[in-house]
Amino acid sequence: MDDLATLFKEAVEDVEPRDRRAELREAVAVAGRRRLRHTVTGGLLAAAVVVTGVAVTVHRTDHHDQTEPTGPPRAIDRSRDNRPAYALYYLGKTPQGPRLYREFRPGPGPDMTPASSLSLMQEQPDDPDYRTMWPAGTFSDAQVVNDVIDVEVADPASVGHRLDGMSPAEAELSVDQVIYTVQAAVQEELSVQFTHDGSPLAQVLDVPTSEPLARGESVDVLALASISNPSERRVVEGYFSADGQASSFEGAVPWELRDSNDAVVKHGTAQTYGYGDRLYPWATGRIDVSDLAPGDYEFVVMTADPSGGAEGSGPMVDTRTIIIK
Amino acid sequence: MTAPTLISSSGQLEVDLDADTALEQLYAAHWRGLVRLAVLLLRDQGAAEEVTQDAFVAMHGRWWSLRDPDKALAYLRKTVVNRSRSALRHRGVVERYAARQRPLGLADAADAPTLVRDRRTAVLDALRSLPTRQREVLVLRHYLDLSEVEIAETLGISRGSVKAHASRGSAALRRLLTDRLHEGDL
Repeated sequence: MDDLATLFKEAVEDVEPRDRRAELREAVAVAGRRRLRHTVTGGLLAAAVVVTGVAVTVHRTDHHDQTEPTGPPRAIDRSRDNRPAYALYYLGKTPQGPRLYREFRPGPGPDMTPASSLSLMQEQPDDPDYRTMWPAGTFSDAQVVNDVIDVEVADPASVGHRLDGMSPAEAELSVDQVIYTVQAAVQEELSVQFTHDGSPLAQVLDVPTSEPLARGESVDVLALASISNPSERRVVEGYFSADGQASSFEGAVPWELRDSNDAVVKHGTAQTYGYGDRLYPWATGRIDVSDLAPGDYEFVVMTADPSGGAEGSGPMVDTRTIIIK
Repeated sequence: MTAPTLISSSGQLEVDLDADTALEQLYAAHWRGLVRLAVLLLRDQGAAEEVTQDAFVAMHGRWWSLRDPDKALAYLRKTVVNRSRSALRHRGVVERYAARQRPLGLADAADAPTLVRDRRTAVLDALRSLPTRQREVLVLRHYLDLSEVEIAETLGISRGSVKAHASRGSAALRRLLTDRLHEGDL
């Protein structure tokens, strides 16, 4: 990555835009109504079908038409299990013990709330390498009250102490898992209060929780090499670029592209401009794959290991499958 | 029948996305990145969000002809760049810019060391003082990692112009940054 690319990425890396989905849906609905003043209502999905005409209709199946929502026109079809991604955090193994990994999953509806995010988090993650240790149904609600995210625990007695087989590190990380997940849902670093019937809980998994909790430091909690793009099973043609976050020795973030036989077919090193105190963005720039045969490949990033493996701990790793066309 | 997924029409699955679903998926994947692109072009986060939102609305209206997430993303980029250019011509943005010493949303990053904050401000200021085309070419080239051909298509100019703007722009930017930053910061 060249120096200007690094400077540009750095210049805007802290820009966290406001969530404008509500305004966007409204604007799209207004624009759609303007275009289709005479269309029978039934939601913007119906409007979109009319606008797109035959082109889309031929690709549609009956499946989509069975559950057309009733009620007032809505900008967004809620009938499909195909929603914006939620950022959920799960425990994963690293050579340095458990860490949190982020997984994006489609949510149950377009209105992302900390409660809906938590209810997704209590299901099993898609990636078999990740897991959650919270029993299903532990959390019954979550909402922002006076700049604190209140997380309602359904049965405090069942999760007051560490669960069977849970290490102290896993207990603390599980608490951070909840904090990171609800903060991602509200897109703000608000502190988190565990409650039952609205009252603060003294402890959860033996972790003191009587005061609102801040999240653990990212370098202590998160996996130190992670991929934001490409998404899992992304189809690429000719080239692709990858980016993510890492805190790796001297800012070096080695990456590899492996074929289905696990042979390394491309490799390189991305550079972050810092490391150690927090996670920094990395980006590979353009990776040319026009010379590779079509098929599934695994893109891998890892933390650099200055000891060359001599210290035996090994790198932290994140992977994505890409499909080269 | 599985739920339709966001892959290119050149992928293995038939693209089966309606405009609303495409909007939601593209929003989830690209909202932040496109706002950041607009911040590099405009230096104003509020204006950047407005411009990017407008681009998404326009994309939704054009979905019938795009019908492909990759094409839609190219369209979104193009629209963000074009509308950023229009927004800069708008006096309000210029006034807001002049009245503000630091870009909105960047000033109070508590975890960022002072040096990094200064450098961010310097980079955004320097970009802002470049001629429009040079700024656009540099941002598309270095931030979005687009090729010369893609930049030419996005901006509707020739490849030769892209080259010329890129070389003049990067020389000017480096000069500006050297003036603004102490040696060794770059």
